Amino acid sequence: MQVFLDIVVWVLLIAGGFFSLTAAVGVLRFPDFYTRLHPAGKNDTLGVLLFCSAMLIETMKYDYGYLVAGRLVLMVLFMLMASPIACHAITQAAYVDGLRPWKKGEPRR
Amino acid sequence: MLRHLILFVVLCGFWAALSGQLDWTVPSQRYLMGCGLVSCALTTLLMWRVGFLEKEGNFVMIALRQPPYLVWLLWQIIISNWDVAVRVWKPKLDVDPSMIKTSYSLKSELAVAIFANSITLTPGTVTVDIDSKNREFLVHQLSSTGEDGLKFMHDKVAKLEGGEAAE
Repeated sequence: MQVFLDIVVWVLLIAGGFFSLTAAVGVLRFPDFYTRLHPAGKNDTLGVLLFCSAMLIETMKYDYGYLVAGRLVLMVLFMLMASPIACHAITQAAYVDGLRPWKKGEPRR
Repeated sequence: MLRHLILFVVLCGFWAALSGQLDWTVPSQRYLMGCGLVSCALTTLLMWRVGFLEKEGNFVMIALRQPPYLVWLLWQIIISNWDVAVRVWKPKLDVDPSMIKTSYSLKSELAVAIFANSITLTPGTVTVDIDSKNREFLVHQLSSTGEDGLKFMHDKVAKLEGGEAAE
């Protein structure tokens, strides 16, 4: 049982690392400001979500782990609300400022 | 008034869950609990002054209907993340971005906020601008696939709000 839980934790951690790395690579590779926000806003959220679920499972090992688990759940809920709002705020600022979105076929900026 | 009372109780519960130090007999913990009460009261007072809560719809009911929606949203987040990840790692860049407009018919501000956040979190779309006069969102999408998903999601949020799916 213990070994099984450890494997699950490892898989979740590696998946979280993969999505965080994907977010970074996406920000570097995508052609303009708006498209870059997609990996930054989405993949980062899932990365943190996966890390938190790994930690949730890890807390089950300890007495009073449920206290930490409750805080982790609150953290995830907060992340789910805050991250898209930040993403939207940046996008809207760019849009109001008049930044033109990239179209297929144009050179990357 | 009742809404502010609910807010105060929820905030106190939030503080208690985060601090976890609730032993009235220990002086330092007594001090912390006092701090918690004071900050919860201050926040409630501020919310009262701003008058934000009166404008909301029935937010308690929306909160109670959240869990099934959250599960569905989590699944959507995983799907859309996989989609974006595939696009990121493809050797040849495969994005065809465009701006689209999508109309909404949600009543409360909270439901609009939930919808906007859900759009940003899911299928290759980010909410750019909200036109509350014409009741339209301006949405930026990575490829031209998101539109049907947006309609479906709008109806889900409308149910969350309590009304029938409009139109």
